[in-house]
Amino acid sequence: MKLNVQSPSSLVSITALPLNTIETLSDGVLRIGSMVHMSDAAIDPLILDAYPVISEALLAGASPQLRSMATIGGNLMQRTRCYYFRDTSFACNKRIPGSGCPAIEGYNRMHAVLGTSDKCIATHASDLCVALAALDAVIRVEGPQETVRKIPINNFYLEPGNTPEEENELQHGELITAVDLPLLPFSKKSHYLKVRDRSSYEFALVSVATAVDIRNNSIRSARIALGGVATKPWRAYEAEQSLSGKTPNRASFRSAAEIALRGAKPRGDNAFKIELAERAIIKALTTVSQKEE
Amino acid sequence: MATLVVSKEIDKAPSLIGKPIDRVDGRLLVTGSAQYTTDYDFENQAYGVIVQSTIASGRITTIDSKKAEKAPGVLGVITHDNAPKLVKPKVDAFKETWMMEDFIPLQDDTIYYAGQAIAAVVADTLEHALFAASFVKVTYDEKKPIIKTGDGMAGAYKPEVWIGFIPGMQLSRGDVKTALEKLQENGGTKVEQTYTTPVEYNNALEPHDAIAYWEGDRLTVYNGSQWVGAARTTLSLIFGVPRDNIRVISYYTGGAFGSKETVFAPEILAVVASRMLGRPVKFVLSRQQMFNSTGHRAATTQQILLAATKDGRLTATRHVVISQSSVVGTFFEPAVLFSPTLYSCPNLEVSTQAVPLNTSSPWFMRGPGESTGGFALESAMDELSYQLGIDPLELRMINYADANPQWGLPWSGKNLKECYELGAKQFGWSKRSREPRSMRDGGYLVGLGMATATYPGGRQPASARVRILPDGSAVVSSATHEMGGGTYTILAQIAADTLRLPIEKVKVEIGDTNMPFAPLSATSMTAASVGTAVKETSEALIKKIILAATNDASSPIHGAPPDNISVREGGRLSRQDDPGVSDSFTEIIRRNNLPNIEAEVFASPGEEAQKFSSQSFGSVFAEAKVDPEIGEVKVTRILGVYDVGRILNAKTAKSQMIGGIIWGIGQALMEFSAYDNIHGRVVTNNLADYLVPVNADVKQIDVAFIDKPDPYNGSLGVRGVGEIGIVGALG
Repeated sequence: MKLNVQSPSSLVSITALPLNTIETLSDGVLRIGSMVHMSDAAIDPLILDAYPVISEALLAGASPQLRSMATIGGNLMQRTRCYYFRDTSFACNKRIPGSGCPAIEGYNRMHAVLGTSDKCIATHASDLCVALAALDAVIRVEGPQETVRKIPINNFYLEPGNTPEEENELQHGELITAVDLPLLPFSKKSHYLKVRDRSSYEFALVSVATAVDIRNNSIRSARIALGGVATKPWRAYEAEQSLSGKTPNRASFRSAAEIALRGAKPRGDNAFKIELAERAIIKALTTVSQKEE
Repeated sequence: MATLVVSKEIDKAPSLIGKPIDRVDGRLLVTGSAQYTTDYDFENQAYGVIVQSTIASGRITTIDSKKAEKAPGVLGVITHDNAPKLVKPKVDAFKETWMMEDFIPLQDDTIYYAGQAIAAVVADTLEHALFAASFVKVTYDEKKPIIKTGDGMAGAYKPEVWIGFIPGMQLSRGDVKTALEKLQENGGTKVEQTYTTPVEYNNALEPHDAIAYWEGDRLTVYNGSQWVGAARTTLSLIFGVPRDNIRVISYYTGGAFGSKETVFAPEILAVVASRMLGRPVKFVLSRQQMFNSTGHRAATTQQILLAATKDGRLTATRHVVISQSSVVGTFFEPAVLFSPTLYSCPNLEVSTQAVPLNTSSPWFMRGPGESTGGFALESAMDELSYQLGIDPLELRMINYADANPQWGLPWSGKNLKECYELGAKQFGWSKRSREPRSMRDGGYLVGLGMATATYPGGRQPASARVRILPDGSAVVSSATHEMGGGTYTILAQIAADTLRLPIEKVKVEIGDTNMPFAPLSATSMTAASVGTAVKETSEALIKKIILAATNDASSPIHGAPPDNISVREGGRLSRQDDPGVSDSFTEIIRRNNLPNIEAEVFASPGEEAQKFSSQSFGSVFAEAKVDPEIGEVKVTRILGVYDVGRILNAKTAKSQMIGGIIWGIGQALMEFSAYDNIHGRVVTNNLADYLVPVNADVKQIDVAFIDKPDPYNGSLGVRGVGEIGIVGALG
């Protein structure tokens, strides 16, 4: 709003809503209230114990000051860092549909290589959402008539396509009340790797959220989600499948990494992200597979 | 006149000079009580907001301000259609007249760059002004701008001098061509490399700002400044107001780093608006506006050739620099400054090309030339050391310059060898393995490197007034500046030390053109220039007081020869041959019924400035760890050892060097600004997208000083500690 990107006529404070608890439900689902602060979630014993990738992603995000103020719900709704979106003197299809995308021909070092369209190449900026995508989190949304919708995070965000102004499934009048983490037997063996230009208070060039289930030196199941390279928190399903039944080693990781970036479209300044993402996937998988359960 | 003698017997107090004392204004600073320009508000003050051009080249066809004029609280919209006609002054630094760009805003419809001020909206509150500014609609006749260096080469030119008077931009000595031909015969070697440096921004915490108000025909301007004198004279010429009718005040400047050496759109438009409206007007640039209109470090492309005999003796140096400039300025990055003097080398050529672009003019930014040129030259020295199989530090020792190799002058004081030796010892340089990728720490590759730092150590004329008040306290005044480095503190130390007063009894007043003349606070010379003036003024004041006492029949020391009188702690004067017989500053003032006793001295460098080359030096050692899988770099250790003359305050001096080193880390690994090459606008125009190091990027930093007084740079023996900190860190 300070940048005149949005100028709402009125704002509603939701800070008093009782949505700031983290609890385990009877079916084992971990529910994180949307008003929980990032800093609190990051050190919550339930999260630290069962979902280390969430804690690591939260601590990799923003700065300590921002994490103490920012909420889980707010993190889900943060807007892109695209320079052109944030400077109203430029055209932007997200801001003004049909006005054009100067990032495609312009300076696009931070921009996406996956899930892009010729209308928009802006990245989704969240770290947390990458970890949530890897864990198949479910966004709990309440509407005006107390209707509750449960939207899997991997369906919540939209690729830009021809309508980059439509970023997610949230409808007018709806509010995110919680994020549910379903039980995942191997979520303890999870890890978040963030590659960035400085050590804190900086968005990802590339990030990888991963979890693996390894038995008898064989990968039974793997999760890989990417940040910093895509227009939404990017789940690499095919790469995950490629690891199934494989031995956890550099060759299988490399192959998965190549599959994950297959179809990536460089735009100039961001071309380096393809190799960097492959390398980050290999490193993250190597780290997570050596992790004690 | 009698010379001042301070007897060692009765003067047992340790000198304040060099002590790591806390800042005299530390409490003000940490409690947020130090008053910067933006902290001032005057009765009936209005607020101005600048509207900037969104195109980079062309003309304004229309500015529609009707809707803005009708917005709540708006007092006026100023454009080139209704702005008063102003005078573009002729730049002359020696006459305190200085402009970054060759135009005055709001005088015509020409657009030189995106970010150029094209209108000002003034309202009763900042919010009203911002809101109304969003309604100003501008149409343009747009031309394709030239933004990339390569696109501007048709307009490139070869300047002989930098900023109008500093020579050496095209220079040669010996015969590089012949030296290169001989090289092959003699079995020597050469390296040829191209280095590039990006656009960088000073971006001080305090944005460029100004408050202007008129009282009749007298104008007062508050601004964040590192040269109030030039602000006054330049405004005087622009507005046709006598210089004596203008007062410029800058008690605290929230960082400048070269960017506040003159007046910018905020000052000029605040004066215009306050005259049009008859009330005080405040302008403060937004953070976004700080990225496109207040100067920046120009991007450079630098080709370096170094040739050496097989035992490492340099036989030829060639440094060819292409620097960006602006269609509306003459400034460029003088990256060749460093090369002719750092090492002994008989054959040398340097050349500079400036390339005008449709961007705001580049301008001074911390260590201009030394920082960028040093990076290239020092990187090439490292390349050469590997080609020769000689240790990088040893290569620098082999080519040590015992006198200034270009101008032949002896150094005023050079202790670089000590910097190398102390640095190598403290850092553990001998443990370094030369083989690339041979040192590891877990999964990280470990690299150790070093570079030479250098920065000019000169001094300029400056004056100061020192007054002893009836209560025995002292007031020091000079129109110099506090930009964060600690000027208030070191001037208080110098005066307290000379006057033998407790530092709490010395008040320092600076940053006001009504005070005695001081030069710009730049090129790291405030301590040497103004510090020397305060010392000499304090000494003159003591002589004056001694004479007043010895000539005063009612003084206990009446009739004593002045050189038999010593100044003692706490403002007392006593006979050396009979220390029990004494007088005091307060008694002398009281008996003579004086309002105060004061002295004012204009201190100028003498002929030593022509006889010696005054230059600071240093050695910087760094350890970095690199993750070979994802390319992540961490600078784990840096040690800087500096030869900057005498240290005035070990604490503030160290802080300055640490700041410079951290900036060097940022320069090496993070800082760069990107333009949209089609529209010519800066896209990384905020501090989230333009990166500087955060705490987590800064690991161990150690700083040491040789701390030997420079015998030929003023009686304090200082050369200044500011900018050299950034120089070697990047290299």
